[in-house]
Formats: sequence, structure tokens, C-alpha cells
Amino acid sequence: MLYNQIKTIYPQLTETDFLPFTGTIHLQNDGESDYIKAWNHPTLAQPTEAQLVATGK
Amino acid sequence: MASTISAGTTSGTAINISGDTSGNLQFQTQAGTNTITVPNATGTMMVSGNMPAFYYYQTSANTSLGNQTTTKITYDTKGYDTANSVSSSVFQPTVAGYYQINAGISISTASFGCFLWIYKNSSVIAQTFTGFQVGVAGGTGTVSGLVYLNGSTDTCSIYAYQSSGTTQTTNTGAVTFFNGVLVRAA
Repeated sequence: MLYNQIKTIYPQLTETDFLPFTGTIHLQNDGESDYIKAWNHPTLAQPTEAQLVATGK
Repeated sequence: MASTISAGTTSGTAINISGDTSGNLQFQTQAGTNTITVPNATGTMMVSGNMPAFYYYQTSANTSLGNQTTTKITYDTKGYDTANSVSSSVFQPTVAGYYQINAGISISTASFGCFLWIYKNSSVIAQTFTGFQVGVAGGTGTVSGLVYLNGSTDTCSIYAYQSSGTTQTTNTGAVTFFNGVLVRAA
């Protein structure tokens, strides 16, 4: 799952970062697969597709 | 303009019928404070056959909700869809108006909280937050809203969000559903 991939790359992220409305990272699934709908984290860069795949999750 | 059938209060001229060629018909009182009652107490009135109503639910295909991921709920079974207005679990009617939208979701594999949202296009217009308890299969969170849809481009769908720490799946059956009906045309 995308959430696990991101947490592997950035283990310092917390549940708060992913909360709806108040979080800075918004993951979504419209019926196909998970994707990053919004990434507005103030210090961490949005991971690339290669980074996500490399997690092996 | 419209052809009219008017009820008045003067003896001998209480009923007035006025016609035009617009194809529209109005029933009205000649005095504004009076009442029009249609039908009578034992009658039945058909408002329109073109008022979309639908009901979908899950039977064999549940929805997997990834941890902390806003996920669209999908429905594999149609109870009814009078105007065939639902495709891929998205309601997109061709009649403009105000729709009563309802949805429910059931999960019984863990104890956690779950948001359930009605989306109009890509925006949340109604929300509930429900606590589920492990092993309680009858637990269902529901959300309702009155939504204006323009009858052309507007869509309506159901999304959920949970943060149990792992992926959760919905229970199939009538406990995970999506229904709606036009209650007032635009």
C-alpha cells in the first residue's frame, strides 16, 4: 500500500501528517489504486515513483 | 405563460379557464391566500416518471480501505436505478435538482474510527465519523445529505477514510450501500 511505502521512506511521518483536512499529505483511491493527491509537507519532498517502487512494499 | 384553471370566490364565476399554446398548465387560486389540494384525500397523484432514484450495494466485491487513504466505495450490485444514472459507483443524473443522498458502510475486522463522506464532484458536502468495534458485524456508519446536482456535469460519490494502522475491508450485503432520489427539481 502507498501509505506503507511512504512510511518506509519517511519513518518520521506521523498519523497527523495524513489526516484529512488538516494533514499536509493526502492519499486517495478513486477505485483503481492509491495515489498521492496532494503533498504539501513543509520539509519533506514528495517521493518519486522510483523511490516508492524501491521500498518493495 | 401557461394555460390556467383558476378557482375564485365569486358565485357564478368561481372557475376560470384561460388557455394559451405554451404547453404548460397551472392550477391556481384567484385569491392568493386560498388553498389548492391535489389530489383529494383518497386519491393518488403521479408527479413525474422522470425522477431518478437509485439503490446500489455490495454483494461479493467489498472495498479495501488503505490506512489513512481517502478511498471511493464501490458497489457491485444494483437494486434499482430508474434512470440508469450510476456508472462505476458514481451518480450523475441528467435531471437538475435537489437529491437526497444516503450511504452506509460496515466494517467489523477491527476497532477504529472511520470518516464517511458524500462527495459532490471533488468536494466533501456531508460527513460522519463512526466508531467500529471488532467482531460487531452489524455496525454500520451512515451519512446523508441534500445535494444540488445540475443534471449534466455534476457527480456524486461516496468516500471513506480510516486510520486503524492497517488496511480494512467493508462488509458486503445491505450494510454497505448507496442510494438517492430526486426530491425537488431545479
